[in-house]
Amino acid sequence: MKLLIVDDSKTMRALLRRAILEAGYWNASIMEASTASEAVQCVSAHDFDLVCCDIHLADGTGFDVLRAIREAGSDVSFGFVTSDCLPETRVRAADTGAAFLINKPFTAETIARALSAAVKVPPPPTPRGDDRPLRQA
Amino acid sequence: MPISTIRAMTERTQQPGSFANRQASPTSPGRRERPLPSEADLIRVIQSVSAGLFGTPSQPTGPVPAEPGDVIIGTVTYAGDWQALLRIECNVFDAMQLVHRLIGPCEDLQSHAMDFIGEFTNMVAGNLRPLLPRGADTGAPHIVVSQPRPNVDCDYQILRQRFALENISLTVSFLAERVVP
Repeated sequence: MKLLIVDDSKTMRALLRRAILEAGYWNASIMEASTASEAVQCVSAHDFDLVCCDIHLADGTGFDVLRAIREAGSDVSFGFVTSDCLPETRVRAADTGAAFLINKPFTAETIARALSAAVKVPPPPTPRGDDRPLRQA
Repeated sequence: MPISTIRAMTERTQQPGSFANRQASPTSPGRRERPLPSEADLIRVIQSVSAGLFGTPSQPTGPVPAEPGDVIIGTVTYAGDWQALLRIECNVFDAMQLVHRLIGPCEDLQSHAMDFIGEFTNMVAGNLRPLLPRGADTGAPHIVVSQPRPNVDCDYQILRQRFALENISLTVSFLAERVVP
C-alpha cells in the first residue's frame, strides 16, 4: 500500500507514520508532504492508495487539496487527520467525499480502523522469523 | 481518572471511516456564552490530549517555581466574533525529552521540540473549540523560544493551570477578552 501523509508538523508526520506501521501496515510505502501545493504535486506524480491530510496547512486547507486532486482527475481515497474537532467540520468532510476524519491525537487502533475501511485492504500478515524484512518501508 | 476511562473518552470522539453522526449541534448543552472554558473543561481536554499522545494523562498541579533555562511558548489565537489566546509553555529541555519519548531519537531535537509544542497547542485549541462559543476561527500555532517571565496582569480573563506530564511541567493559559454585558 502506498500512502501520502500531508501535515505541516514534522512531529505529527512522524507520529502518523509510526501509527500506520503499528496499525499493521508494516510494508506500507509512505511519502510525506508539508504543504498543500506539495501534496497536489505528489498526487499527480505518484499512484497512491490513500492520502491522509491535515486540514489547516500553511498555503491552503485540506479541502483545497482534495478539490485540486479531484479536479486533476485523481480518485485516490482521501481522509482528514486534524485537530479541528467541530461537528460542522466533520459534516463538511463527509460532504466533500472524504473517507474519514480522525481527530488528533489519534491511536494506532483508530488509524487501523480508518485505513481498513478506506482502502478496503486489511493489514498484511506480520512476517515472522526469517520472513521478516531486514528493513521496513 | 483511570487511563482506560480517558482513552475511552478519546475513542468516543473519534469515529473514523464513518460519518454516521452527521448532525451538527451548534447549540450543544452546556455550551458557554463567554469565550473562556471552565477550569474543568480545560483540565479534561489537556488530560485527553496528553493521554492520546503519551498513553498517560497529565495531572494538574499547584504553582511550582519556574524551571531555569529558556522556554518554548506555543500560542494559538481564536479570532472572529470574540478573541482569545491559548498559550502553552514548556522548558526547552523538557520539551525535547517529551519529543524523544514520542518519536525516539531524531536529528535536530530542539526543532522537533518547538514543532511539538506548537502542535500540542494546536491540538488543545482544536479540542477546546466545541466547548467555546461559535463565531471564532483558530489560526496556525505560533512558536517562540523565550526566557521565562513572571505572570503579568493584562486586560483579559485568564485561566491558568500547571500540569505535570511524566514529571515534566507544562503551563497552560487561556486568555479571553472580557465580555461587556
